Formats: sequence, C-alpha cells, structure tokens
Amino acid sequence: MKTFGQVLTEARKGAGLTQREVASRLRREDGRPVDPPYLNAVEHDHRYPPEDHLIEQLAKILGISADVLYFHANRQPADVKTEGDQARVEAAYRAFRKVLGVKLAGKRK
Amino acid sequence: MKVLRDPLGRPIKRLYFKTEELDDRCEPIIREFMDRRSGGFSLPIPTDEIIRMIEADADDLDMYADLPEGLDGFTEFFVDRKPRVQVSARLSDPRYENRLRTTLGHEYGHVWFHAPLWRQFGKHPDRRPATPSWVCHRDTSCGRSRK
Repeated sequence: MKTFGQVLTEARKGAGLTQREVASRLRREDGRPVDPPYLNAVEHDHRYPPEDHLIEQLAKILGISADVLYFHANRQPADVKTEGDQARVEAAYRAFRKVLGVKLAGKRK
Repeated sequence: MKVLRDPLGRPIKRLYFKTEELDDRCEPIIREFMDRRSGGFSLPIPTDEIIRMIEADADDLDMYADLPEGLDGFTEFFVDRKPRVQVSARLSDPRYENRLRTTLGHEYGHVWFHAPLWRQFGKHPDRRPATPSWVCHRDTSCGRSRK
C-alpha cells in the first residue's frame, strides 16, 4: 500500500505544483505559513501526516479527495467520528472491506 | 563522444558536448516543457519550472537534503529506474537563490543526459555496471562509486 507521502507527492505532481507553491498556500491554525521543508519531510515520510485542517487544505489545493488522504494517513475524517453502536460500526467496516475487495484478517471473538 | 585516458593511459570514451551543442540541446528542452506545461516560454526561467522539470524526469527530488558542507547537490543513478536527486537544504535560503538555480540546472543535466545512458547499459548483462548506483557530486562533477 502506498504511504501517505507517496500519495501526497503523486497528487502534487499531478496538480503541476512544486512543494514551494503548495506550502505558500497552506496555513496553520494560527495563521502561520507552512515551511516547504516540512512538506518535503511529510512527502518523504520522515514526518507523520499533518493535522486534519492541513489535510483539508491539501485536498482542496491538490484537487484530491480528503477521504483518500485520511485513508492513507490511517485516520478517520472528523465527520465519521460518531458514537455509532457496535452493530453499525461493524456493518460500516463490512461495507468498507467489500468495496476495497479485502477480507477480514484472522478470526475475531 | 570524446576519447580520454584513464590513469593507466588506456583510452576511455566519455560523453562530451561543446558549449554550443549544449545550448542547442538544452534550450528546446526547457522551451518545449514550458510551452506544454506552463502556458509558454518566458525569461527569466522561474526556479519552480526547473524544479518541475526535474520532478517530471526523476524518480525523486529532495530539495531539503542534509548534505555535507560544500556539497550542494547530487544525483544518484540506477540501472532499473529513474535517478534520485538531492539538493542541500542550505540552498533554500533566499540569499542562495542563484546557487539553487545553478545546482538544479546542473542536476537536471544529469537527469536528462546521463541517467538514460545508465539505464541503457543496465539492460546488457555484459555492460552492466559493477555497482547498483553511481553518485555524481556537485562539487567535483565526477563520479564516486557507492554500494
């Protein structure tokens, strides 16, 4: 499976933007700009995927679904972090696996 | 090609271009790239366009590499994939913009002229390089084997 950095790099190149150009358009929550070296480190998987608000901005700038970025960051989008009961969560993951074409790994109690 | 001599005096062929030949070959490359990707050629060539060119033809570009003092950049060649380019993080300082542009142009020369030859030789078992990759250091512009 591709890493978050690989997906981000492919999306950026696909959008025809350099790291410097993307970083200049990103803003942290306190309004500070993002340093290009930080973005470079994320793309090379030397840093963890960025916070949610930066992922949302990256998705808009690069024209990629934020869900894809969250998926490769091993995180859930904020809008699906609900208090779902056990049955609904299981059903959701069944549907998720079905669409992805993967099977449940191992046996669960 | 130009025939040079190795330390033992034996003839060795080396890729060699005169300045005019390099101009004739390089100008169309950037012109065509900018016409196709950036809405037309213009001068001075934006640094980001040189970066885009490297990223289009290299496997990876690290613009903020932790390289030793005095080493601005290097290109690593492989027989089975596109080259990897690293540029020193020191050059991201706006004071070194011109040096950054020079380094990027230098490394792109390797990506465009040398990397295809490396991959071509890699296809022939009897001409395959002894080492899996070869590094050109920006400071000396000559090779150093690395395992």
